[in-house]
Amino acid sequence: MKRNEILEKKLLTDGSVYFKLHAPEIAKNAFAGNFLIVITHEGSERIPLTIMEYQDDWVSIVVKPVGFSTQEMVKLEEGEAFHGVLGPLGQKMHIVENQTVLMVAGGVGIAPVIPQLEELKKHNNHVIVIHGGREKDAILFEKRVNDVADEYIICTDDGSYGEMGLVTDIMEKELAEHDIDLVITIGPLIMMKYVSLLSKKHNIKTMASLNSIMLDGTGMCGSCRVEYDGEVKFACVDGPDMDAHKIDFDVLIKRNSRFKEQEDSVRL
Amino acid sequence: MKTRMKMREQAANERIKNFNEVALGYNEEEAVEEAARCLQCKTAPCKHGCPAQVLIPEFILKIKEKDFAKAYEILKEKNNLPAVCGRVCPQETQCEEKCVLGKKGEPIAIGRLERFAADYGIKNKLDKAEKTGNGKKVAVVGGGPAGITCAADLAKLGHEVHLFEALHKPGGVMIYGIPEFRLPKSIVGYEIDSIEKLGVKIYPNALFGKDRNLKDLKEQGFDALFIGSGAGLPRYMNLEGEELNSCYSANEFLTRINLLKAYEFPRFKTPVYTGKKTIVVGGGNVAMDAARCAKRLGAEVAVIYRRTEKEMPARVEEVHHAKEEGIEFNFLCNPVKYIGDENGYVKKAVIEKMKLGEPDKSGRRRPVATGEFFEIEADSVVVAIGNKPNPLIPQSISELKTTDWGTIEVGEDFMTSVEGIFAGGDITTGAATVIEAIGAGKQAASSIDEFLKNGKSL
Ligand SMILES: Cc1cc2nc3c(=O)[nH]c(=O)nc-3n(C[C@H](O)[C@H](O)[C@H](O)COP(=O)(O)OP(=O)(O)OC[C@H]3O[C@@H](n4cnc5c(N)ncnc54)[C@H](O)[C@@H]3O)c2cc1C
Ligand code: FES
Repeated sequence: MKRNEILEKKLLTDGSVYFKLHAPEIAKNAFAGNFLIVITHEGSERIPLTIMEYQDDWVSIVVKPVGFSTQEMVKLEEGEAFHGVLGPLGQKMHIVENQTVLMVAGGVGIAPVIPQLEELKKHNNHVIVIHGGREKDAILFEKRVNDVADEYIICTDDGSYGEMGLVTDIMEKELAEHDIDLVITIGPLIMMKYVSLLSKKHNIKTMASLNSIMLDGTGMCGSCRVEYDGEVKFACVDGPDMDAHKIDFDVLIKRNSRFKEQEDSVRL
Repeated sequence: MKTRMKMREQAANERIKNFNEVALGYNEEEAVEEAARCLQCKTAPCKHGCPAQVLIPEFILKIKEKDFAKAYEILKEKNNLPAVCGRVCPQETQCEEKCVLGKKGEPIAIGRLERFAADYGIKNKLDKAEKTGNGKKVAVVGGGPAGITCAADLAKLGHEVHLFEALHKPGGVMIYGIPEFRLPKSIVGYEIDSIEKLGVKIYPNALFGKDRNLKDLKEQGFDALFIGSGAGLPRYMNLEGEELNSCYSANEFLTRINLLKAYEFPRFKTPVYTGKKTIVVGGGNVAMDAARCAKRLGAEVAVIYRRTEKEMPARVEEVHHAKEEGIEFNFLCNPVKYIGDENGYVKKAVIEKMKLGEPDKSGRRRPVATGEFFEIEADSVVVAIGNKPNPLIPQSISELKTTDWGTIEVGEDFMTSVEGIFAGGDITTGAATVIEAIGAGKQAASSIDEFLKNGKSL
């Protein structure tokens, strides 16, 4: 078996692709919260992707084809191999025990929520998951989450599935009904920003998984840097999971569109 | 007395439009003529100026005698990467500074002759790959000059060597930092191929401390470990505006361009943005490389350096080339903040004028603030004020003793505080030079061999 060979590829309802890769060293050392740097072909960009599952000698990732690099990535087929996969990178997730945890996921952000959810359950927590998507097709891994979470609320922008509304609307209700000790949020930056603002109002510690633009993923370039409580931190080594209340999301949102013009100029 | 043979170069107005090598090297006649200027001093002061003690008069004599193959062989005895060093060593402060010819005229062009002989050796495939085997098993972490040299020497001594490199291509700074126009990547590629031919097994995308650790190495039967992980952590000045979209560390800027070939975007898929004007902060080789890259991407470039030209740590040739290419230098200047536009890109820099005060520990006169400010409009900024070691490896091996600077402590034999673990290059010295890393890799290899011969292991 080749290193980084695709063992399984599945197209998901929202157009994302699930890949299971042969990567023994990574699988052996990975933990929930870690991510990978994936290079599709020689000459491709180095793309950070959070690990969804890690077992025996394989790991899995979910890729949403948005820019040209991810579009190129999802063209690989079973039996082919990625040019390079580096990991496991970053810090492990923030673990708590015997607490009530609210997990708020947006879109494909549910994939990296799964290993954290499973880990939290191993530590005897009561876990509530809110998963928001644009429409029904954006709701992925429903059964999987349902089997593990203590409470699970789906919402869609158009009300085509689950409740109608934004994750923050549902979150307000949950905060009113439960005594939440920790919020974990994974999804688009703008969503995490509002989740964070809301939890801050209620004074609940919140971890967000930061997806800044990365190059090496090892602390060598600073491309991924974030403003954290007035300090500079590197999302790739100090994160990706970081205390959301200390993050300057507005700076990060701007920084994440740094190369938009170049990227828009190229379409596959 | 004859003057030094000039080296042919791409014209400045041409080369700023491409990333091809600037200096074109000597041909055989030029090399022989330059070699004939060597006085062959018995005392060979030049050798003492070389951190790797290359047999300088000896190899130059062979060039003069037109025995180029022998010249190459002599070079390789002490320096595994002569084609690299001929191009990037700061000869003017090392070997050439000590040259007797330099007292009255120009020192002999040792670097250029080294480059000539090394390129001859590469072109004529003079490296023999003789695998011996049957030795011990050694892990090398880091594929920069220190790691490559250590791995090659250990393989030549018959050991089984596995080299782990975090990036997707080995070469260290030679591949991600120093640009193509100064050090063609084909030369680095050649050196990597040759260590593979010696039997070294290279693992790219392998981050020691994350995907494997000391325990794994012990389980896999490794007898010794060499750490050559460099000084790859960028430093910032903690200025207002450094978070702006188009403010880069030199590492980021250069990695995008050199490792990921952003200058061939979109054929290569990694983008970079300079805008019309780039400011580069710093005065070392890194700053010169960043400035000249930005120029080639089409930007006007201003270098901001807080001391004067005399204190610049960059190689003289790089500063000279940068000036020829139309890069503007602002000496005795220091940025204090960057101002951005509504989208978060740099718009201008506020700069403070400096003056020279008392000498500091390094003997260079310390720059002092004057309280006088001016502004420069710019679309991007590259911060090239130095690097420090990455703490990942010391963190993963807690018994490893480090200094306050984050470098790993080693003894004269390059052994760390942990028996069987050796280290060398920028990870022990802080950011230094290629030749020092090579020297360290070489000496560490011989210490490791000694250690293993004595029946010891990790
Ligand atoms: C832009 C630039 C220009 C320079 N110009 C010159 C010059 O002209 N002349 C000169 O003499 N010197 C120059 N230098 C300095 C010189 O390049 C360095 O001193 C030299 O490369 C140090 O060699 P090294 O082997 O110690 O480390 P490096 O070359 O830094 O190599 C270290 C390698 O280790 C890898 N690594 C790090 N951590 C891990 C890990 N945990 N697991 C696996 N791999 C790891 C890194 O990815 C890297 O490839 C320059 C440096 C820069 C940045
Ligand atoms: S991605 Fe380069 S430092 Fe984080």
